[in-house]
Amino acid sequence: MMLSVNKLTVAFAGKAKFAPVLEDLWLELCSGETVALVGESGAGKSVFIEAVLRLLPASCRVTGEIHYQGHNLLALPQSEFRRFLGRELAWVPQSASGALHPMLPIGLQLMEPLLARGMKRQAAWAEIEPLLESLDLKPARQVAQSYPHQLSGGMRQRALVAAALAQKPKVLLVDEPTKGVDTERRQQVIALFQEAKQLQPELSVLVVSHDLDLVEALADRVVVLYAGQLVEATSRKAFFSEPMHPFAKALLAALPKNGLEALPWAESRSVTGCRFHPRCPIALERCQSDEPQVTLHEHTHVRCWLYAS
Amino acid sequence: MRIVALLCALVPLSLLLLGFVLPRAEAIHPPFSPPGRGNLLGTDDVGQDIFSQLASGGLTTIGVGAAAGVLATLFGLLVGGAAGYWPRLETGLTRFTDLILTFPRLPLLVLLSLYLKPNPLNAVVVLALFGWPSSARTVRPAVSGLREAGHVQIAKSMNASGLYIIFRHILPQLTPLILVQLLLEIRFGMVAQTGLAFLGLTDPSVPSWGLMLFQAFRHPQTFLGPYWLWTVLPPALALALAVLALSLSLLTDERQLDPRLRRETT
Amino acid sequence: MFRFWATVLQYLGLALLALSLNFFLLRLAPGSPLSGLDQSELDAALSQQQEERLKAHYGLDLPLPVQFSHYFLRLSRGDLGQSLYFNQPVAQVVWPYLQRTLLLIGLGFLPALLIGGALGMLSALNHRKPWERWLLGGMVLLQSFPPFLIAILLLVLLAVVFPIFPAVSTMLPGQGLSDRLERMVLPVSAYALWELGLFYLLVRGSFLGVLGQEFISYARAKGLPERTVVLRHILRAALPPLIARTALILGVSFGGVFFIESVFSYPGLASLALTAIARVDYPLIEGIFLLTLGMILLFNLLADLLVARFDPRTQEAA
Repeated sequence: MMLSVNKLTVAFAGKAKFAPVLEDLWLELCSGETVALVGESGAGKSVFIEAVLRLLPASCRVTGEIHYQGHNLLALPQSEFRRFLGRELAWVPQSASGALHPMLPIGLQLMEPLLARGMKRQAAWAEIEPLLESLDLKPARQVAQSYPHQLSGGMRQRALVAAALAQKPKVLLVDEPTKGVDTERRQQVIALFQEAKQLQPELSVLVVSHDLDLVEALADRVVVLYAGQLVEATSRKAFFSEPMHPFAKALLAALPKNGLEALPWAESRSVTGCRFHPRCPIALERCQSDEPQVTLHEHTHVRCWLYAS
Repeated sequence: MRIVALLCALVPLSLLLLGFVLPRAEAIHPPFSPPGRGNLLGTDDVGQDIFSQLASGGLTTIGVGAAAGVLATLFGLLVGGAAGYWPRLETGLTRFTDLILTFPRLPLLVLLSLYLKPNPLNAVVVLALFGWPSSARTVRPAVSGLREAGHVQIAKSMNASGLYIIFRHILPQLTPLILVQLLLEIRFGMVAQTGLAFLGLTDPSVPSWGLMLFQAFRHPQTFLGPYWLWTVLPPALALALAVLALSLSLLTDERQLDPRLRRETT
Repeated sequence: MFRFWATVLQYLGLALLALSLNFFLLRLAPGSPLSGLDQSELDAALSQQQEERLKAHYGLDLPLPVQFSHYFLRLSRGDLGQSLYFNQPVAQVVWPYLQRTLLLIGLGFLPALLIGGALGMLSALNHRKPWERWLLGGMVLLQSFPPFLIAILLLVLLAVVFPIFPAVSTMLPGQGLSDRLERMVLPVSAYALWELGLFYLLVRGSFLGVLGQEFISYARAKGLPERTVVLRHILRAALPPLIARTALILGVSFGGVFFIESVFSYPGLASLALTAIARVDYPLIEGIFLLTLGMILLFNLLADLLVARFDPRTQEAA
């Protein structure tokens, strides 16, 4: 077990009257495994990654536990927690153009985590160079000397992946890698992460996405979030062949895109009963008043009254 | 904070009111008399009553500052509003505004007040002439943000004229922003008027706080020794309180200070 | 390179505009260039001979276009004319005064930038803490005070109520160095205090702007020590606008220092300008004005060029 998340709850200070952004989430990530976190925008997917990396502003209340190799990441003092960053946990942020420092050369930004752990410049470059070459950032030396604005969007994203892999992490946290990417390039992004997995097979990957093509290509297991709650957790095969939760079914039928209107954020968090019931085609009466719990059916964890015994 | 601002404003405002009522100070008292009977705040080097000077000086300083501030804001609204509303004018007017902004205000003010007659009316015009760019710069992005708003589109479809839309539909929505700008401009006007007077560049027969300071600083003897208590302190304090009142009421407006550090939450 | 020349050209245009403004204001003002004064005042201030020289200086009898070309030709030779009062070339009169003003600015600028910048940085990194709000409030108020008011309050406090420093900063030929330095303490402090608030707000604002950016979160998530995040990532991104605004402030400070000098009777450009105004020495006034303007524009130009130098995005790809 690489990463195990238990009862993780994130609440924003200013939004006390709403349900938390993320509520009672549990999740396990094994060594070498890829888990996809799926859901609509606003479901709390990206907040999850920021919570693991402790990047949320101080005004957020984060409770629960995130265990990594016997440490509760949330309880560690900042100085000790930082030792995990840039070595064990690496982040591939959503927007490559926003995450790269506009005024520092790419090469330095890639080497920084290595330099920070005391590696010499030359040794760090020896690590980076083959990575750049294998991710098609050629000629490596020239790419390293350029600034982000001199690279294309695709190159910037590959640079971010290279930066993450250079840290030789155990866990890779990937945030919406195909958001805002056109269909043609989506295939390239998917291939990029498959390549990354080939380069470091023992890597555990947690990828947040609402792009089901990417999920199908990369994930071993799928966790579905709705309005801050886990509604289904299962293997990739089960998710794509026999989804159980009505929201998972709707996702697969691409309903959120054509027809099933997403609720505004505040509204989705102030629903009583099952949070999905206002949009559920087969809602029962009790769904309006009672909140379902997560139950296990064969290999699938699901939060729905349909499957309650 | 608002209460402190109000308390600070009390002194300059009551001086302003008294300025309308009290007669002009005349050199009829013994010079350098300390505060006390007859002369509430003493007299200056030529024997004018300090308190009545302070009152009529407040009338000039606050009057010129407020008039220049209002004019500058209005002019800024006009330029900024036009630049924000008509995309065709935007680049040109923005360039022009930036150009005036790079121009050093103070040396120009000094030069202009040399070439023009140093009366309060000219001061108002000159100060307004240099005050407007900052207002224009604040107003322009706000107006262009509202350009596509629904009610503006409706008004447009009803064939309302551009100026009418700007002044009836857009600017009223920006009232808080404009108010802040107005206070800033008034502050600038007051401070600049006092500054010019302090350098001795205004009409010496029109009393103002800056002129009182100018006269107090002409000779070291008038502010060294005990005299500073009534030659320097009253006008300096009056101006300080007026500036404080304006600044404090601006301080309550958070948006003025904080480039927000808020993050998207979803 | 293209950008460089474009910027230089833009400032040349601005300077040209300022010079023309100076030219036309003087001539188009109602009456003579000395319309601010009545004829009787003029007679009192200037001798007949001086008045003649003044008219010759402006070449007022010639047609306007000829005057215009003379004006620019004269300036392009670096000739600012002859001072009426000092009876010397303006440039020669101005130089020692300008040196002293630059010294005052130089001595006050550095501590103001360092202390104000450090406080601003601390403030931004501790955003929203209670003490930070008080510091911010104090600095906003300080910054809203006009320079002459700060100078007057300082003078009253440290030279009159507690007579620690001399109240008057006139410099006399026989003074020793320590005496001169002592006389500079108050003007320099007043100037530094005035700039302190400006620099504090400037640094705080640009740091806050950068702090919210995603690349700072990313730098932290890479496990970099906080020192590296602040000094390399935040500072590097905040620097270009900071440099630009600092140069702008330096330009503006030529205005502020004017008042501070006259509060303390410090023998800088301001006192010279006031003498020139009192003596109706128009060539000298004009010279000081053009010089000040030139300095400010120069600082602005410097700011623009430095920003281009420090921000790779504005440079052309090599």
